[in-house]
Amino acid sequence: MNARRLLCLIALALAAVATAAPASPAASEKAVKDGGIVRMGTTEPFDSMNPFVAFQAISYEVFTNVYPVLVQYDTHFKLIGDWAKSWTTSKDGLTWTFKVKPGKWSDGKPLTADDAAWTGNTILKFKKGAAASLAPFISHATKLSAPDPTTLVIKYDKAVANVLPQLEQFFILPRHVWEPIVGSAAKGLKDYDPGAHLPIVGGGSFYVTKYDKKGTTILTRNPGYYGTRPHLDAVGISWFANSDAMIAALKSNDLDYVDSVPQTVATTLGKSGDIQVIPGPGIEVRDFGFNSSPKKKKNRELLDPKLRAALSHAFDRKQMIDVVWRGLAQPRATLVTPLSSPYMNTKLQPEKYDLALANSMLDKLGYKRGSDGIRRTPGANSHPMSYGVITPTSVQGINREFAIVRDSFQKIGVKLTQRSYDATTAFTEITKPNNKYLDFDMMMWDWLGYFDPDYILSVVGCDQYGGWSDTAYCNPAYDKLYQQQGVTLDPEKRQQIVWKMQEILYRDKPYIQLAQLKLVYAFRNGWTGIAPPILNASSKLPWLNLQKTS
Amino acid sequence: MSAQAEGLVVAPRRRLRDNAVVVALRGSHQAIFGGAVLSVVILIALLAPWIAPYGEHERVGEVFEPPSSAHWLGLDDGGFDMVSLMMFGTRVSLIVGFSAALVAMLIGGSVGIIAGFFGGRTDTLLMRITDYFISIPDLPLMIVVAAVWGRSLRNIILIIGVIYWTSTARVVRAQVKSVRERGYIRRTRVLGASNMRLIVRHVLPQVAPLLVATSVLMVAYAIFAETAIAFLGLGDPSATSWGLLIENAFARDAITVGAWWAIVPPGIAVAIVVVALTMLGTAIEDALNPRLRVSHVSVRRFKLRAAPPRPEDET
Amino acid sequence: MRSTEYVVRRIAFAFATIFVAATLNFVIFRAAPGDATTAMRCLSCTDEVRAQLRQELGLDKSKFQQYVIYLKDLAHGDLGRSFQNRQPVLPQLWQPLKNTLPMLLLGTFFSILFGLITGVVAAWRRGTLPERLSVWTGLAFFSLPTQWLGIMLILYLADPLGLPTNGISDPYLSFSNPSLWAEFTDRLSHMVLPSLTLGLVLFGEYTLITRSALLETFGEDYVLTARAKGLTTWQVVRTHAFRNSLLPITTLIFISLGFITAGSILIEAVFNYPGIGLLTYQSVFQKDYPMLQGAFLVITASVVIANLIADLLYIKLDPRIVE
Repeated sequence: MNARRLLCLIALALAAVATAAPASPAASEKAVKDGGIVRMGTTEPFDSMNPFVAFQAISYEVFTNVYPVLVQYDTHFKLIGDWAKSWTTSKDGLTWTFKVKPGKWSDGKPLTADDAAWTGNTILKFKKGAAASLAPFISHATKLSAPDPTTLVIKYDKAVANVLPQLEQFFILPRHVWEPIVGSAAKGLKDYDPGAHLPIVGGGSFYVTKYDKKGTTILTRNPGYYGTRPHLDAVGISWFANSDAMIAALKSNDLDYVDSVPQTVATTLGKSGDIQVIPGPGIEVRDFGFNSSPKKKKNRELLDPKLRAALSHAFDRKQMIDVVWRGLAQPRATLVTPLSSPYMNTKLQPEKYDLALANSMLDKLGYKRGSDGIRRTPGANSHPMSYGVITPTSVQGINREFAIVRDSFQKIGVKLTQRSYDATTAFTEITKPNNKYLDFDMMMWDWLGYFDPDYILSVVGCDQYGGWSDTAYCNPAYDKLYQQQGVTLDPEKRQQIVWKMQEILYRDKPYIQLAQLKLVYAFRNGWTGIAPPILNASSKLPWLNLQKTS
Repeated sequence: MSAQAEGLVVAPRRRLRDNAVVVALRGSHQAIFGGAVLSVVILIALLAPWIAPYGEHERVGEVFEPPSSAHWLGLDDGGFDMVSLMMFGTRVSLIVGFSAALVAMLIGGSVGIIAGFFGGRTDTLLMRITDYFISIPDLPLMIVVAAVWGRSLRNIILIIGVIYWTSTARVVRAQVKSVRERGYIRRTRVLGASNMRLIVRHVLPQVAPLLVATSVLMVAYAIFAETAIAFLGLGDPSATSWGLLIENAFARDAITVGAWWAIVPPGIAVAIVVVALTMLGTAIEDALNPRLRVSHVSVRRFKLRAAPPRPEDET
Repeated sequence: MRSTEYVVRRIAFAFATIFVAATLNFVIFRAAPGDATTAMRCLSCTDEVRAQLRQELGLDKSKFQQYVIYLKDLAHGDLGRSFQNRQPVLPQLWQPLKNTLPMLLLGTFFSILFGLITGVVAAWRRGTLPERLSVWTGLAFFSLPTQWLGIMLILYLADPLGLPTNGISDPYLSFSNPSLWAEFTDRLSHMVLPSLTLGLVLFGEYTLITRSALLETFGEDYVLTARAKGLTTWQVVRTHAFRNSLLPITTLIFISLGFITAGSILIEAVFNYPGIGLLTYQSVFQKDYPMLQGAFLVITASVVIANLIADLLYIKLDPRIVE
């Protein structure tokens, strides 16, 4: 069955190549060959193929590859051109001019700068309405124009430092397809289901020919693509509800590639010899957080930075990395990761795991142990140090993480109880009542940032109450620095500001960062040009470079 | 009819040992097996902290270490000893089982007694409510309620109890109805006894053995339901139950890793306890009244409560 | 009570139950704190976006207003649009339902099959060890946690039998232009393990029914008469025992079908089988209310209707009951 299936796939691929348009490069050399389909497995759920509706990462992965974007990240996580071959900025930083490459949409219509201008202006026009979810990618832009088919001009109202990282997710839509759908008032824009109108016209390296969010979605090579021709004819993304099933499919050669391998499986999966398991860079950082709202009602001792400093020595990152992530993670001290280098403050080290130190610090601060071994707060209204820790079930392995923290805290005389909820309920418990954050004590969650640090630095802003904030941290000095780095165009100066911001957070400890997880992925033998899947939603390069060797 | 038969003369108390039900049970293989297993499990639960080879939170090795002479059932996904976890697991599983059964019995028993005793409109109303409860699918309801209330042992017990009370209610109601029609009840009422007195002194003792039998079965199903709830990720993560052991192993890819020792024992343990309790419960039921047609079909798991109203129930 | 009056009352009751369940499921789900927009974290999930989303999804209205809108839509057969992809709920429910039902039917078939075999053995070898074993195996399998049983089948039966353990079909089958037969066998092979799990869990009851039906038959006088007339035991069994067990088995099937739809969640979760159970489970955590309400309604309706049919059949097959 497998051989037959493979044969049929090759036959199909050849057929696809034959019917596709022109311009084949020189014949393949050595053992690599062109064509074929990569069968990828994922447990990330699709939500929609409508860019105005979708939020899920895997949907964005598809958009990144099927739509032209001005810039993308390369395999060193640096921004390079995608559709734009060059760009210039005006002296005041308010006008960006991009020179873009000629190309064709998958239905044969020409791709020009006018498509980009139309997309951008439409988003701006409806940014308080139907296009709100795409507005952050051209925030501070005021107008786009296309003086000629290969030139795009974007005007900004502020000289913003992270224009390019933002534009990396500015998907350019085909005007001739979307203009009638948008109409004059963008009514019903969000009700439009591209998945029901296949093939979905795309102008990137691929376009969507089959969409099944519970099954397999197929992306076929776009013959009119403006960049180097992909080696593959198609990419197939199969969704699985759990990773066991996905790994089983990989093992039985029903899949070629899995974009995320659970850490517990990573070590044994490679033993068979026909699968390579690669621990790639990941962007997820696990954290432990304190309620930092100055108005919180109970257990106000937790607001004291000295107490937090003492408690910070009770986090056994080594054991967590060993037990929860099987060695496939690294200890971290800040929200910013090396993927955003040079913006990660490398001078800050994770707090040392030292229970004796923690105990002595707590003793010195006056938290005496009661007869049951639990410490009590000093002074009047003394109460035992017993706190609830909110954990969302959506975070993998959080129970084990918590158990390790709980056991360490028990040894320093602090009692922790787990409050386990699903993500939505957990967030509501954190923000209650009414986004005032008056109730909870502690929580454990994670953050997935982007390569540019702007987003991750913003999650602790004063304006994020009820938004992204899960610690209610509010520091005007920090916010001021955040605004500043947002408009500092000189990378070195910006780095200094960002480092200072991290120092502030490290001192105040709304979070105790635990570890950055590796994103382990696996390929069956017979592939080359592999790039880590963390790039899949930020670059066309992974699927462009991928090639079969057998 | 003799005065004795009408219950106006209270018969002398007989020794429990000679009670017909107990005699029947003593001869029943099922009851003996069930009782024995239950006793062993309870014993393990009580003595767990002393007889378990390792601590419940004591990490003794690597994640999913295979069985060895030091760890007969290997280690789980946190590096804890499976044998010890199994022993500690009896505690939570039994606590959930008995508590949930108690809740179900209290609610169901009360509803059944009130409906059966007072009859008429009260009966119809209560039975309608019961029927609605029966028709609502259990597992989705449990999932939603767990999502709303959060995952804690107390909530799990309440959820199971609140969903299971219906079968007890129906069974008790039928029994109460037949008891109510007995001569001596009518006469006692004529003599001026209050409803409360009637219920407590006369109806309850007649119904109690049936309640006990149903409760034993209820414990079995509560333990079973707990494993289902834990498997769907709705269990209390700090309470080591057998259901949680299965879920932890499954969620951390024990299947792919091949760590059967983390999955097989808890499942077998649940089965053994549920079988034992079921045997004990049905043996008690049969001993009570061989003619009592408590449809065993009616107390099955997927049909977590009694079968839908049958024509002969509507009198 | 007259037969038709009973039937009418039963049907009315069924509708009332579905309505109550619909209301109940609306109330419970929205009692959960937060909604689909609460815990969103991504670059585009800004405050404005979330507020706007809340407004679009109608979540900014009062709960009562939402309930009224829900009822109005329901009366028009409109189950709303999924919060995830904004597409109508009803069409998105059909496919999962169509996936679950064949699996359930196959599972019921397995359970009847195993039940018949063990029931016959039990009745034939009355009073000996094989009888007790036959009955106890049913109980034992019934007592094993369903998800655990599924996992055991995956671990130990899948490889030897060459059966797939995930999903409903091979995602890449369509590439090889399969024949109808190939598609059919592919679907069937994916259904085997989940249905087998179901069958193993439920066969115990069929064992008991078959056994008691056979025993009853054996004990009857007409058996002796029939045998005196020259009929073999087998012929007697075939005519009388089957008729005796027809009623309980039929009602059992319908009751089972109704409730299994709900219990299928566990099996579908283990085998990643995209049925109505898995859909319900996933929608809860995504707080996709319309989808969840729709799935819940479908499950409840099938339970109620199945019970209704079971009850009506009961009357038809045994009119004595109503009198």
